[in-house]
Amino acid sequence: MTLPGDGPDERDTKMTGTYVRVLVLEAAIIVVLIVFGKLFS
Amino acid sequence: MRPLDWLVVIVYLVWIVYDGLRRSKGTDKVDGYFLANRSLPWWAVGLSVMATQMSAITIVGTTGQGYSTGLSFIQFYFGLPIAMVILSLTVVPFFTRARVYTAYEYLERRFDVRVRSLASLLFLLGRAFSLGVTLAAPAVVMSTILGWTLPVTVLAICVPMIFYTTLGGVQAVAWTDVKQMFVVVGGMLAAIAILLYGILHSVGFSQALHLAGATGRLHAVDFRFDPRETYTFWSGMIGGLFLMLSYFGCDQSQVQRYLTAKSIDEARQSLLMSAWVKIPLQLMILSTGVLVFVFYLFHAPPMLFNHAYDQAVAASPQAGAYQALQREFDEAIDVRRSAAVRGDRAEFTAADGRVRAIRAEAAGVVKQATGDARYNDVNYVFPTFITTRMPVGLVGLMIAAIFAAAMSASGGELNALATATVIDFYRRHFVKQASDAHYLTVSKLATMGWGLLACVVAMYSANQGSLIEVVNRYGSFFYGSLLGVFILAILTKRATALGAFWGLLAGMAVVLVVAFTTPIAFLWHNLIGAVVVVVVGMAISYLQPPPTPRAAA
Repeated sequence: MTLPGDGPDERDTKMTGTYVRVLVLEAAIIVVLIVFGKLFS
Repeated sequence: MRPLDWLVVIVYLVWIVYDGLRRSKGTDKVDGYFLANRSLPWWAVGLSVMATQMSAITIVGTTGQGYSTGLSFIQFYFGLPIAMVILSLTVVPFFTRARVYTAYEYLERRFDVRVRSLASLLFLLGRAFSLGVTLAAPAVVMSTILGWTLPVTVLAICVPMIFYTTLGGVQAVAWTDVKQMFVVVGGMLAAIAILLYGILHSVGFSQALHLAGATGRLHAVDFRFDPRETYTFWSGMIGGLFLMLSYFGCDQSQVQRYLTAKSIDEARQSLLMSAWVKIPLQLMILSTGVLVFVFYLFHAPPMLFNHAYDQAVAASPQAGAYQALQREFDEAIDVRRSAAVRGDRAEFTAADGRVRAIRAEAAGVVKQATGDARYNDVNYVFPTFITTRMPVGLVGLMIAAIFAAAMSASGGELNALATATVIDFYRRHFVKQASDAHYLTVSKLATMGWGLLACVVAMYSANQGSLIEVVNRYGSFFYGSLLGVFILAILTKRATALGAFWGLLAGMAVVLVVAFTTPIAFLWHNLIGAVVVVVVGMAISYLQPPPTPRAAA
């Protein structure tokens, strides 16, 4: 039995900007949900 | 179901199985069978990750939750984007570089074989059980719609799924998942269009939202810090974060998905796809349930959506009481509709309360007449809408989507169960040196065996409340503890094998005690399990000499 694959491509670049955008999107969705809930309750 | 609907279902299922097998090139070795030779693009892995979670339970159970309680269930996913970022920074590069088949292989390198085997065993037990529940959801739907018995329905779903998963391995699973995602999203959008068409015939969009809001169904975020409440901002953000970290970081069914990616970057991107899309997608599905509720304000709904016991109730001594309730229900529905059209909020809210009370009373009568104390109709709401309100052809598409969702999600889990069985137990403990062909054959047998076991579990787990909650509750019994042992392994150098082993057992024991003796909601069990494992594990570790540098590396 061999090891998995012939060796993975270890391309490993920083994605800090992507992480920040992901978290900003989540915060925006939560804010929209709160406003939406208050608007239509 | 009319002939065209049947045709859509049959064509779709044949195509799924055929295409799954056609794409399974390179699965003549264990590497290809379990890891697709690490060759899949990030978008396929990302869709596969999401499809493995978006099972038929999501379509049936989440819409049912949207109908009965509204959007509050979305809080369950609040921890997910944060978990994806943390995992992208930590375990994704870690597991990829470690070149493992299973996440648990690493635990032996870091601790010892006992810790690896215990963690893998926990995964196998928990996942085999939840796989049965995953299969039960569409079985419940289809048995109701088609009038089949549950065992026949379970087999109708399981046999094709076991067939292509056994023969095609992870590649068949991944490419089937990709197609499933498009069909499910397309089907849900079609359902939303039909719902909006039906609603906007009666009231304006803004009025529809106010009606849903008046019953609390648009109240999505609850900031109360009450551990007894299942879905709050805090339970989702903290308990949900730990659940998602455990699920995506320690559960082989997810880890194996991103181990098939071409590189660390592509594995990260595949996980981040969930971070971007999961909450909006779940919102769409929950909103569909809310729209079904608004739709039925203007189109007469059945008193109960689950008709499994109609004949039994009609023949029981409670038949008269049930008929009286039906008359009361019809009157209450008329009052509610009238108030909804006029926009009389006070009368509408009162009438809706009356409708809910009658439904609860009717469910009580069914329970009394049949002796089925677990009777409920949450998971029957959306299937009833599909089969009675959607146009011919689209009914077939939605049923095919439910079938395909069940098979795709289960296929991924089945493949992961086989991987852990063969790699962590068979090859590690029983047959250590054998040919690749031998391990491949055993892998296929393991896939088939787990598939058959899941069928049996499915037949016994069909009527256990809202199905999506059932799956998540079972997962929470062990997910937090698994996360705790990986925290010990990856984030500390001082933890010893003995500490990790007993810490893991202690975490499980405490979660079981908490689950059965306190009202603490299940999402918090993940946090409790992880904390207990780390605290107990470190305490025991400090009573021992430090591990050797090699073991701690």
